[in-house]
Amino acid sequence: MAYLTPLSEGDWSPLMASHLAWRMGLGETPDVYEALYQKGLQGSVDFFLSQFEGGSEFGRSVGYEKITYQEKMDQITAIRQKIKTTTDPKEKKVLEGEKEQLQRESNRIRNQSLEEMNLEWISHINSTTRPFSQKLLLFWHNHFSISGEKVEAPWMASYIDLLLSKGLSKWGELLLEIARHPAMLVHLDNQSNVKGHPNENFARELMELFSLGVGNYTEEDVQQSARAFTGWTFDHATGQFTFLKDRHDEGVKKFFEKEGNWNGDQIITMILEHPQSSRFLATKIWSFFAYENPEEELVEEFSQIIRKANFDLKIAFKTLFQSKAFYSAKARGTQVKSPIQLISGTLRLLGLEKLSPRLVERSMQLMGMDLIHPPDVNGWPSGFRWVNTSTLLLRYNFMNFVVNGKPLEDRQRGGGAVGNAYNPMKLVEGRSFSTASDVVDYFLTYFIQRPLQSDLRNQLVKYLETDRSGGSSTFDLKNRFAVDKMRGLIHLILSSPDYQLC
Amino acid sequence: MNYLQTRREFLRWGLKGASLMATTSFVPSFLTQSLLAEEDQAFWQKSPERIMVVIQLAGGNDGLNTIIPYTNDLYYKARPLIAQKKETILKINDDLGFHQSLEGFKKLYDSGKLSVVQGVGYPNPDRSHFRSMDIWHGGIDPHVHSETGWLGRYFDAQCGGADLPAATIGMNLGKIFPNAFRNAHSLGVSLEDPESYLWEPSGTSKAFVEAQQSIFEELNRPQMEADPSLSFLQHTGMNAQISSQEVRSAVKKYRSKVSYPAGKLGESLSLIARMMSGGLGTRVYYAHQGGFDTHNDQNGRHDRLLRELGESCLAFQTDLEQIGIADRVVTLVFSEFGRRVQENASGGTDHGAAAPLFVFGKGIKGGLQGETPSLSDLVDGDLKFGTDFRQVYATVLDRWMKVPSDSILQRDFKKLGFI
Repeated sequence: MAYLTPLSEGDWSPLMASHLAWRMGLGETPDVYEALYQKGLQGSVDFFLSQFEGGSEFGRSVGYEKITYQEKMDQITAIRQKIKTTTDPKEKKVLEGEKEQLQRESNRIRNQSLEEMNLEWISHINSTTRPFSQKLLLFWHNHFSISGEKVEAPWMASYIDLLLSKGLSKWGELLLEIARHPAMLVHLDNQSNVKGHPNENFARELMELFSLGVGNYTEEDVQQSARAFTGWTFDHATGQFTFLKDRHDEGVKKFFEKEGNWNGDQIITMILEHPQSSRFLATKIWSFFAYENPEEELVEEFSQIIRKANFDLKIAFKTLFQSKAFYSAKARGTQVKSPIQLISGTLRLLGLEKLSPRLVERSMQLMGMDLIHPPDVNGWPSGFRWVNTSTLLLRYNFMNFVVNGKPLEDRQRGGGAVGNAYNPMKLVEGRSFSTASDVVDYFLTYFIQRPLQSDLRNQLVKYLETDRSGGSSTFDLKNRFAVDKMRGLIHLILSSPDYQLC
Repeated sequence: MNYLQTRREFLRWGLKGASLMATTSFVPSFLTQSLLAEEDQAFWQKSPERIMVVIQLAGGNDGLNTIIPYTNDLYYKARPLIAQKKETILKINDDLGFHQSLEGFKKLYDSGKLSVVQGVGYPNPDRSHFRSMDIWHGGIDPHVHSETGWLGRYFDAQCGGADLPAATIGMNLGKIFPNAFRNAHSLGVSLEDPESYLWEPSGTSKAFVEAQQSIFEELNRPQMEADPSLSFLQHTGMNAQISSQEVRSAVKKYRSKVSYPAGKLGESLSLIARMMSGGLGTRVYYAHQGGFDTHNDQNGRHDRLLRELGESCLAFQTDLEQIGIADRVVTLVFSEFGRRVQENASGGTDHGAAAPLFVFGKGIKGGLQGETPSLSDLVDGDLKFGTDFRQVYATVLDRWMKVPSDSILQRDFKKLGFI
């Protein structure tokens, strides 16, 4: 036990608390770091973990014209049949036209419900009082990466519900429930995986992306296990999982060198028994919450803890967030914030949680993250890959929008909206500062995890002391240009490479 | 403050900090090396250099429904639901033809500007999107993980010469930076909308605005003692500043008269044409079209995708000809793999292996290249490859970009006849 030994309470500090708050949650203010510091390391980790209790009823609040949608779909199916049987080319053309009209209508209903669901999700994240539950949801959503591209709103919503209620249970339980969920059955085509015509999409991604990783199974394992999942589908009215025996392949399948009439549940059990499954999970969790490319010994150590705990996720996360390695220099302030982390965190720090979810959605999309449409089955890129010259400037422009009210996109294209300029005095209410240095240091602690290089810090101080003619004068919060300058100061700190990290 | 001053300022700082810079991992050494030359010569002079455009079709394009063996019974047997009817095919010869949505490609083909390289792939094909895409991006031995990309190594190779590569030597249109661009010198930029590609200060007085601008520049440049994450971000921030003004002024110079089809690919290609006409120092442009992962109900979707692809490429070629730079540009269209010969039960196709790749441009030799893959001699239900994708890279690098491909691809490949 080296990497995952708990940090001693004696090494706990407000700085460590701020690290924990950003990684387990979505970012907090210095007052919260202080409160967490008082709770101690274990107290703080337990505090965040306890936020997961209570589950969620997210799906039930989503408005969805499901009945109308289903009606349209039924009509489309009926017309399709007619098109097949008709011999009159004229009638065929009319029917084709009707079908297209119905398809357009059903698409509209479909997209509107997805959009509503997405906006509601964004509001949940921004105004949550249980940041860890939202953070963990983001982790699992990135892991399973189900997209509204194929999956309809009610199934997307109930998939989110499932992640929110089972995200801290046992890994095998979560994996099995996800595998049987309508969202996954649609997303990876298992509903059309039938005896004689196996569809390998689910079987492949189950092993490659969800549980083992490339190189730990053969092409034959993919083809054979796909047969084990034949007949898995769901009731389209209720979402209830259904097993269609007559579509299931009862033949002998050879999986991991073992022959038998395996079914889907047995395949998942065999996958979990594979020694690689705990290493894969350990790596995935560690990379998302602590740092990428963890040391081999660390993975091995974490993997053994996970297996010993019978894949209990709560124990896994508790171990991680208390460990020495999680608080090492390699972990602190080295993670590039994802767009949702950056935006949601900024809004929390500035007290702007109520910002229009539509604007947040748009900004996130510009930065490369569309919450209900992950780019592909592998989820979003991570770390450095969030940042290139384009997305970095978009991040900075978002800061200009929240601080100065500048439009999000250029005016010519008519995108975005002009917001209200932010009142920076909110952040210093009830505090007194005697010098420009004090103000700068306070804001740096407020927004960034690690100290800014000293000459850059000094330039920020000098900026506060700049007067309108370009000369220098003492900074005074009561000066009528102080608000203007503080806005500039915040905009600059938020437009720094340092603020992109947590 | 004009652009050159900004850049010169960066370079001056670079000389001052040269020894310190050597300690951080993401610092572009070309910046320091080139400092002295910068003072005398105009950096951004227009060059008649050749340019390469890469279009990535993400998801695995179904090659067999793109270039169709319309007289082969095996094709119709394998695909009762999704096979394209004989009479709809845009015929190339007695055996092969384009999918009916590819009128754009057919026109390019008929004018001798499009080469169809058949059966492109690599040994022991990987059917994972990510691994296979990584293999195409890496451009080295398919079974070794590559930290750099084939285009990134090309950028690096340009750093050694007397002429400096521009920060914009590689330009990606889109949010996700392609692995193919990864390199040692952090060259290459990514953008979507040139108009919003800048940082703006704010404030009520000139003094505040100027102070902010200068601090912003300081914050966003490589500093000493930054760890790798921070250093990477600082360097990206600097590249963004360097390229921002240049790109925005380049696209202002030209408005295309050619109309492109709606969609992201057309938008990207149209923007690329504008940037080229504005004389950017960019040698490689990268554009994307997604949605090719057609596991179910393939037909309607695939038709639309191919139509968008063909029409966008034709519009692009026409645009380049109007600008008068068509003889300098070659475009490569690839996907990470083709799809299974046998259709699946959902009217779609699963991940496969070899597939055709397309190269077009005024300066290439059009026609068919490589062997047509056999439909009876399959590996695991997939087409066998006859041409290694790195042969295509080698041909473009050696014969178009005029750089020795063997060092970039870590092996000497047999070139193809399209250039």
